[in-house]
Amino acid sequence: MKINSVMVIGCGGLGGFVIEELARLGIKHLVLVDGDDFAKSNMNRQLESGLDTLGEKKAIVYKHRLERKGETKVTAVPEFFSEQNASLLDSVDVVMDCVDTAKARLFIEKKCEEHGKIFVHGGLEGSFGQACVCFPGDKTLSKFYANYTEQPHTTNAFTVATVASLQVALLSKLILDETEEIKNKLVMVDLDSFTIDVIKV
Amino acid sequence: MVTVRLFGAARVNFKDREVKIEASTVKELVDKLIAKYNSNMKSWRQFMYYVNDVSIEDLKLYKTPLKDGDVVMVVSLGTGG
Repeated sequence: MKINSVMVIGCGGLGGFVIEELARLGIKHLVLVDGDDFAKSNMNRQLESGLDTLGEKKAIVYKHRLERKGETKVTAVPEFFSEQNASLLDSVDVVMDCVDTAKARLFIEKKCEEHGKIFVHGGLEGSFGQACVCFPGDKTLSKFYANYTEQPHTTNAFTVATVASLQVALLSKLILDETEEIKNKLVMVDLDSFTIDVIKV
Repeated sequence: MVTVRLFGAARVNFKDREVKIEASTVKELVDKLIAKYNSNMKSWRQFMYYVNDVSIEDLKLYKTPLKDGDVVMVVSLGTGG
């Protein structure tokens, strides 16, 4: 699959690492969507969070980071993903789900369904995380989050970085046209007991 | 005995990595887990259950029979990022 442009929704923990890896993978155009500013609470896990970026828009900060390398075209959208900007999906090949609530993830799934887009999901809780590729019609997240009760997260840099890398590894399978290896599969990583499980979804 | 492996929020909430429980159906298993962890059905309804790597949605849901040696994975997706 030819992937020239990727939208990253959420430029926090997962998003920061995903953006970095996509740029280094050679994706030509990245669209970064996040209305959030850097806060002190981000410092435990978010790549660009620091005293010099506190209060700045994450999407803009990552745009500047990639501009220093100069090889990736970056469009920063410093707004939360919503009905108002969902039409931007039509300008990209694939979407990366890097947000941090079930509600926001289900909205991404809904919009990707409507726009016929593939998205790569990643999420985590403590030392556990998961990633999968969601094709139109799969509705994988709806199955898992149907009865989900939102609760405060515990997150750390090593789980964030691992799950982000899983997401980009899955995207690379799309580029290589090895979709049979990833279709309907959920990769679960456990950094407490150091296991990776792949289950059919 | 059935081996139950807990992932994600299930592990975070209930601390155990793996437990062994006597149960003849998934429903009985979940009831015993609720009692063991002094929790409620709402907590356990949000998880997905896999018996020997097959989702109970593709089996008989909570009526799925269990036998000695089965492995049940209790899975929830993390939402953090």
